[in-house]
Amino acid sequence: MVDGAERSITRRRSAWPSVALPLAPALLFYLVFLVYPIVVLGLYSLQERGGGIGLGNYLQFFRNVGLRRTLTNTLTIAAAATLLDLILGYPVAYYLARRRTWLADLVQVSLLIPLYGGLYVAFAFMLMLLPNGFLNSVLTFFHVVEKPLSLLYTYPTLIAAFGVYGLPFMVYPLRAAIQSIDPAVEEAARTLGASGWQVLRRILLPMSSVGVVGGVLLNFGWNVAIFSIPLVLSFKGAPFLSIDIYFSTRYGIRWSYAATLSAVLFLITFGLSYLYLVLVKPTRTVRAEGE
Amino acid sequence: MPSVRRSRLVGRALWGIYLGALVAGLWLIFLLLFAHSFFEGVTLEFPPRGLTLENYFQISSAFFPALRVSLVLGLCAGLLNVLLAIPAAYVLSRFEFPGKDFINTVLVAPNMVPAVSLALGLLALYAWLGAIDTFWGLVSALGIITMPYMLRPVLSAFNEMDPSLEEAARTLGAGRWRVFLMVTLPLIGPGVLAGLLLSFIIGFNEFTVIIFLYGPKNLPASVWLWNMLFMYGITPQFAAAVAIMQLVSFAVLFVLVGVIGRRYLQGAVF
Repeated sequence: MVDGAERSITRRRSAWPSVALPLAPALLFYLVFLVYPIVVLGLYSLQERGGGIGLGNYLQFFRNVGLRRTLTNTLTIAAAATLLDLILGYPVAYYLARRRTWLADLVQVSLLIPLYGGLYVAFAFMLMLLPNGFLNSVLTFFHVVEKPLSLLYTYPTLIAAFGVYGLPFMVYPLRAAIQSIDPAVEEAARTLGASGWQVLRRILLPMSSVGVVGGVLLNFGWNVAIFSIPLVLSFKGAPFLSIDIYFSTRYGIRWSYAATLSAVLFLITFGLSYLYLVLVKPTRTVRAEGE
Repeated sequence: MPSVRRSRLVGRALWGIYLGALVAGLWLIFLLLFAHSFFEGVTLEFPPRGLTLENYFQISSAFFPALRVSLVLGLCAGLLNVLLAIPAAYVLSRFEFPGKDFINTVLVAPNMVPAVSLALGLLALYAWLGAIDTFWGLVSALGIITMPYMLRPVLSAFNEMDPSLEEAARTLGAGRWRVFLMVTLPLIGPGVLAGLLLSFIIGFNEFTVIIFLYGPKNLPASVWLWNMLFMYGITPQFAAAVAIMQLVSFAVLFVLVGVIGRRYLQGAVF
C-alpha cells in the first residue's frame, strides 16, 4: 500500500507536462484578458504629455485640486461605509460563527442577495427614497414627518447603499476569525463574572483582530471600486473616481488621463486585497491544517 | 436560576430582533422592486392607486432581445469557465509543484482588480483587436471576472473527492478519459454546477465591465435598464423589467441553495 502511494507521488512529480498542459489554457486566458489589460493601463499612465515616459501623470493627478477632491471624496465614502459594515457586521459574524440555527442559514443566504447587482441595490434605494416613495409615505402616514424628506441624493443614502453592497466582504473574514476562538474562553470569562461588554472588549475583539483587519481591508478595497451605485445615486458635489473614469471614456478618450485614474484605483484595491492575502489568509489556512 | 434563564431569553430575543431586522432590510430592498412592478399609474408612487399586471405587457419590446443577450452571455461565460477551470482545478488539487501558491493567487486575482480598471484595460485591448461590441469579446470579459466564482467550488469539489477512486478505476483497466467521464465528473458534478450557476448569475447581471465594451449589436439587459433610467427615470414598466431580471436571478439562486446546498457557497466570497 505505502509502496504504491509513494510510487504514484514520484510519478506525479516527475511528469511536468501533466501539470503544465491542463493549466495552460486557463493561464493563457488570464494572460490575455487580465494581465495584458492591466499592463497596458500601466503603460498608458506612464506616457507623459510631451512624449516622454515617467510619473508626470501621477504628479499632475495629485496636484490637480479637482482630482484630489474626487480622491478624498471616494476614500471618505468608502471609509464611512466600511465603518458602518464593521459595526453592523460584527454581531452578524459572531452569530454565524457560533450558532447553527435556521436563522443563521437565512442570514447567510440573505447576505448573498445584494452581491450580484449593485445596480439593483441602487434602484431599490431610489424607489425607497423618492419624495413620494415607500419611506416617505410610511413616515408621513404615521406623522413622523410632515413634509417628505429629500434623502435621495445625500451622503447618508450613498453610504448606506455602499454598506448594503459590501456587507458580505466584512462578515466572511470576521466569521472565520471568530470561529477560530475557542468558545470555552468566552465561557470561562463569563463564569468568572465578566459582563457581555467586557467579554467583547477584552476577549472577542482582541482575539478576532485578524478578522477585523481582514474585513476592513477587503471591504474598503471593494467599496473604493464600486461603480454602479455611485453612477445611479451620486450627485453634484460628490465626485467618485470610478465615475470619472467612465465619463472620461464617453466623448473621445484621453488615454493617459483615464489610465492614470484607473491605475490609482487599481493600486488601492489590489494593494489592499493583496495585503489581505498576505496578512490574513495564511493564518487561516495554518489554523485549518492544525485542526 | 430564573434570572439566568430570563437573561438568556432576553439575549435570544435581542439576536432575533437584530438579525430579523437585517434580513428584512435585505429582502425589503428586493421585494420593493417586485412590488412596484404591479403598481398602477404612469409615475411610481407609494401607496399605489391600484395593482395591475399591465406594466409587464407594456415593457418596451427592445427589452426582450436585450434579456436574451444577457441570458446567452451569462451561459456562455459559465461554459467557457467550465472548460478552463476543470483541468486547472484538477492539477491544483492533485499535484505539488513549485509556484503552486502563486498560481492559486493569480487565479483569484480578478476579484482583486477593480472592475472599472479592468474594463478600461480591456477597452484598450479590444480597440486594438477590433473586438468592441463583439459577442466573444463580451463573453471573454464576463469569463474573466466570473472565473474565481467557478474555480472555488470546483477546487473544493476536487479536494473533497477521494483520489483513490480514480486509481481504483485505472487499476481495473479503465482509460484516462473513461475514468474522467465515469468517475471524476459525476463526483465533482455538484461543484461544477454550483460554479456554473454562480458564474451565470454574476455574468447575467454584470454591468460595470459591459458598459465599457458593449455596442448596439450586443446590448445586454443590465445596460438597457440603465439607459432607460437615464432617459426616462423610474417608471412602472422599468420596475417590471427589473422584476423579470430579479426573477431569473432568484430562480437560479434558489436552485443553487436548494438543490446543491450551501456547501459550495461557503467560500464563494474570498
